[in-house]
Amino acid sequence: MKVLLFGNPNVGKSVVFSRLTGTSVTSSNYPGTTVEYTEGYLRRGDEVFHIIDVPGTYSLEPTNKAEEVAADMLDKGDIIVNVVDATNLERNLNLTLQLLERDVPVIVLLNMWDEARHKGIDIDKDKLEELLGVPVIPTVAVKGKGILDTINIITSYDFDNYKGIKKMSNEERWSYIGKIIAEVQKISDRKHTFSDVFDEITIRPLTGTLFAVFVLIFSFLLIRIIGEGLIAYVTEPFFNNIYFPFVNYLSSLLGGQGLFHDILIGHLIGGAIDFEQSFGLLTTGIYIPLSAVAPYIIAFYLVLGLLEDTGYLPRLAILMDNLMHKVGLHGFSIIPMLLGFGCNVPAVLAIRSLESEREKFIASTLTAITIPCMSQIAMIFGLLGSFGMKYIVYLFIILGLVWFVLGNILNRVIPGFSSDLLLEVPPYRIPSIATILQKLWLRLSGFFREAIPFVLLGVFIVNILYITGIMGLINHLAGPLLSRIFSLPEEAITALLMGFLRKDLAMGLLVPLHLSAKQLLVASIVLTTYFPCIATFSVLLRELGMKNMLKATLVMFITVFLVGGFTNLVFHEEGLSLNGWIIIILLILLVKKFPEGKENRLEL
Amino acid sequence: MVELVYNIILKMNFIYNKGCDEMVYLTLNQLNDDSKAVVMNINGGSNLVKKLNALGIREGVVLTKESQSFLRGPVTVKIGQSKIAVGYGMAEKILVKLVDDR
Ligand SMILES: Nc1nc2c(ncn2[C@@H]2O[C@H](COP(=O)(O)OP(=O)(O)O)[C@@H](O)[C@H]2O)c(=O)[nH]1
Repeated sequence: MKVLLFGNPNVGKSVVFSRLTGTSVTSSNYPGTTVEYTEGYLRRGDEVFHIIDVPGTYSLEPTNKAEEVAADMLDKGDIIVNVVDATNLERNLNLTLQLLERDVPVIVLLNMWDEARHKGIDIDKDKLEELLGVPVIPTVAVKGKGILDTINIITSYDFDNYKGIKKMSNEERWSYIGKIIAEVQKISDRKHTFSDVFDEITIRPLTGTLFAVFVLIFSFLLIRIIGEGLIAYVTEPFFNNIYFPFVNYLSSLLGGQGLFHDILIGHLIGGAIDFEQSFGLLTTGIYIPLSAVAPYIIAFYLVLGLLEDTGYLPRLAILMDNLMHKVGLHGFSIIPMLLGFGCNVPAVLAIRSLESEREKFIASTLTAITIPCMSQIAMIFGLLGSFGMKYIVYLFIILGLVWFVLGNILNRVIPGFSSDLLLEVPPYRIPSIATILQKLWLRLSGFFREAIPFVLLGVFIVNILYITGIMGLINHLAGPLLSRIFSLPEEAITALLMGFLRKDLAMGLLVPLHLSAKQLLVASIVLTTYFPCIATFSVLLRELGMKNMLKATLVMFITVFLVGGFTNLVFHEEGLSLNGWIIIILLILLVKKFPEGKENRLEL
Repeated sequence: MVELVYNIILKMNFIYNKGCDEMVYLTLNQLNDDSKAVVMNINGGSNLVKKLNALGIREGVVLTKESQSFLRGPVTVKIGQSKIAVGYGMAEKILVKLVDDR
């Protein structure tokens, strides 16, 4: 039997789903980034219920991709569990009534019952049940309350006597909802709470912008501190004290050299294993993902999880709306882009929920070109960071400028329309530590599944290419180009090549080259802006299609040569030269003069 | 400039259509922060009407404008228990009338 979970976005549907099925899925306190649906099973005795978490939707008349998916799935179900946000009954009932107008039997869950209580909202559940003609169950999904009742009602549902309601027009429906609300809901006046005041502060333009800057800087520092802390106190000690003796022993067993030794352990640096430079499968291949990168992945997703679950991100989207319109997008696109700092793959998947082809193209191209993922950032912190924080700041300033200039250009030359922001702003919530940790674990294990095999594969390929001498040949052929444009040594071409596989590995290949701070900065920029890693590439290809992917690739190559070359020209060891700043300012002014008018704001 | 003329024309049209009574319509952008208004008309295509309707913004509904970001930033409104951010372009298409709730 198929059970469909329907509901508005952000009503706690994913939490209900994981409670029913026991599977873990990610939940976030902001609406609208999931387009795909999730499936799971609930076993009761001999019966197996197939549970499907349908993407959140406000209505059965689809206005975007996620809602289309939702509406299409409706007929496939035997029973619908309609999750309703009890703190927002009126708006939620719009979907409920539309569901009742169809033929599939419905159960209504009044979720967030705790929050409704807290807000002084009193709903007469029995009366609502009577008016709707279907079972209504109050639930608190995060605490598991009401879930058992739900299962009991699903398993004992009286299908034969189900009768929905007659079809209504929009006006009729809203006026009927008005009647229901008048009968079942009482809201007692309440004083403004701290959360209301805080909300005002963070959403009003002036204080909100200040707060946003504070949040972003604080998040950045927090990620840095947690990441560095984990490396210094957990992963480094582990690798040096526990893992080192093991590989060292293995190395001497293998005789310290030879083909096997080179592939498994790598080269000995000054007679000893060096986790960063030896470049064997069991040394660098394990060290990069587990010791250098994983701590930052943990730090990033912990902070992102907090931002997601408190409900801050939609407020950030509102504040960023203006800026995002400059690059042909609207405020909501900031959310996929922030996800991109973790990994570009989920970012591109979230971009799917944007409305027009044009927005999707601009957003994916900008993300792929200007947003380095955490794996790469972690390595940049390790390498470039050792020369000083200043260089990291420069890196982000330059990438930010590329984002802005390139976005402006794309906005002016790409035809089509862009839409406008329309977003429900959820209330602030105190995130539950358990959900945050669960989500962190899910994302971290995703990272391990992706990263470890690819890094190992990369290390293996690099070794084979070196051993067979192919690498030397490539270095000689393509190397001069690199040194001329970017002032990078010939061997850096290996890093560029491996960047196709993984960017953290590519950064790792730069370690033995002993580059100067400036060269590292240029290399970091080049590695960020040029071709995305294979995982990102394949989702981009799927989402954009061949033609647009080729266009994006072209933009990428032009950008990488211009920006990498430019940085190489105007960056001195102390910072950007005066000429550099002048060129940047002229460029921004020039972009402003670009013929405007390709953007038709929405088909309003 | 164009914007302004457009808005004036829009408003004139409305007053004309509604038979010149003393009702004055504002767009959501023109509404002051913290004032309450009733939605009179959504001056857009069916897709826009549908999208707004799904979020509860429809003719006849009472809303409170909370705030508006700088320049051409989004407008935040409160409807019943929910808070919704509406982009500037959309907010321009939503015509409202002030509610005197003193
Ligand atoms: N207070 C409270 N919070 C809840 C409840 N159910 C879910 N949440 C929180 O509401 C937010 C949205 O939940 P999510 O499952 O992502 O919503 P979805 O978009 O409908 O899948 C999350 O931060 C949850 O932790 C509940 O019953 N009570």
